[in-house]
Amino acid sequence: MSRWALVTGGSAGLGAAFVDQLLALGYQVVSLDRDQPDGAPPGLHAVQVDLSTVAALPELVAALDADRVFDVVVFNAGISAVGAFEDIDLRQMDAVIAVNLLAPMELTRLLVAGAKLARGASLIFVASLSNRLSYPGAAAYAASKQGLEAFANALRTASTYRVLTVLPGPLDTDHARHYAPVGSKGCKRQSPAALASRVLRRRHRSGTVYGTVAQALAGLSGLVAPSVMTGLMRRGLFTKLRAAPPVTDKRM
Amino acid sequence: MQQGRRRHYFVTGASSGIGLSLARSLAGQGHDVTATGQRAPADLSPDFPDIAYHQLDLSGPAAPLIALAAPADRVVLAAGTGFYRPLEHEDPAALTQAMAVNLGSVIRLLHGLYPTLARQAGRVALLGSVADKGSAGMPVYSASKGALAGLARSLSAEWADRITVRYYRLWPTRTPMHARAGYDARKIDWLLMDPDRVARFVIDHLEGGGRASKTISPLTMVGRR
Repeated sequence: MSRWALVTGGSAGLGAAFVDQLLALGYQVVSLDRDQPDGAPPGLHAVQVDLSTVAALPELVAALDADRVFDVVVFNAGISAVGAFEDIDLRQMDAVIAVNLLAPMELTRLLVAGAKLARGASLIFVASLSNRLSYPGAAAYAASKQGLEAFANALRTASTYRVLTVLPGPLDTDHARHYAPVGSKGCKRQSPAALASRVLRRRHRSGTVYGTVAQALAGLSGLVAPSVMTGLMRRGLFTKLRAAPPVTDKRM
Repeated sequence: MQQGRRRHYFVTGASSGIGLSLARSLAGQGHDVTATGQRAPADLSPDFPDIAYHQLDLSGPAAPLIALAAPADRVVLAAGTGFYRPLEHEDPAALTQAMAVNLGSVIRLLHGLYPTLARQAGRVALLGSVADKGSAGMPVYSASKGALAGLARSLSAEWADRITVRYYRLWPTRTPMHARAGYDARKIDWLLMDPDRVARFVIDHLEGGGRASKTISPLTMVGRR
């Protein structure tokens, strides 16, 4: 009997890396994405859906095979909106909250309530290192990701599932490049394949996964000295982001 | 601290709990107060202070809220809702409502109030909870408060030179919220903080210097009025 995995945002970036590696591990993979994936490898079942429309999710979950249960679910889909908070269009911030936070919450609820998860299934929530460091210049994004981590923690203490929270730093993806400040060199970006494999190796244990040891240390500094790290983020990142017009999702 | 100048406060969640304590305390100190809450004016407690009160659903359109709040140079957002129940028993409409009230309305309000707050060197207090790290049995409420904490931290850094944004991470307080959420708080009654003292603390703290995030626990209250 084949095992099943569900990945949101599986057509590009970190999500595509998760899809590739789950396929390689022998899973049948359902990918939810607004874009079609690049190829059609055997075992991949791509479903086109716009996750900013949270009200469409019940129908989508109801359309899954009645007896199919998932062993791994990766809540990976995410968008952002960067710039000065007051300059960003409210609809863009609504979309960020919907895709990054409301959709994974509602999807988890539907999977749990509909008994679509295998016993001891791994629920993997992709949050952000900004949960430790702050992210002035992307306040709605920071809110969505910190809310997602709180949600995951609440589930972890109350459920029989394995719950992993991933806190990636900058990744070598189109997503990260799109939202980076103008002139960002991006020489320290982590490869999405490396992060996906690090996460999947740990999928049988609950916990928090950082991208790299250096990022974990930065994250711990953010817990020990939050004001200092917020100040660094403000000077290093926000001053550049606020100097340019807001950058939002390309199609929202 | 009562000698400070007279301010115009906008308070949400004022019909009960900490919001009501805030409204009473601020009115008692002689400030102008505009307040919203979910109860109809006729259902307010008999000792409700003589302030401008409007019944408003915070999950509704933001424009009326922004119009009411615009004159204020102090904004204290105390409204919050949620249920104490596992996710499989969560109702999708209640999930949407809790996220809209606890997070969505805050984003809309602060976005809309930016020009007037910046002009008046305004100060904003967002009332959060120790559940913001994730509490078993309340995944939706935890998510909303975690998001509020994340919003506050980044926004306070963005606005540091113009507007003060503070996040108050509250330990459980003796308010009607527990009963409404379906949680029997009697077993932790000894732990619960007095809403009047919490309200006074927030009002004082918001006027002083300090960090963007402040945890308020029973220990914080030791030796205070």
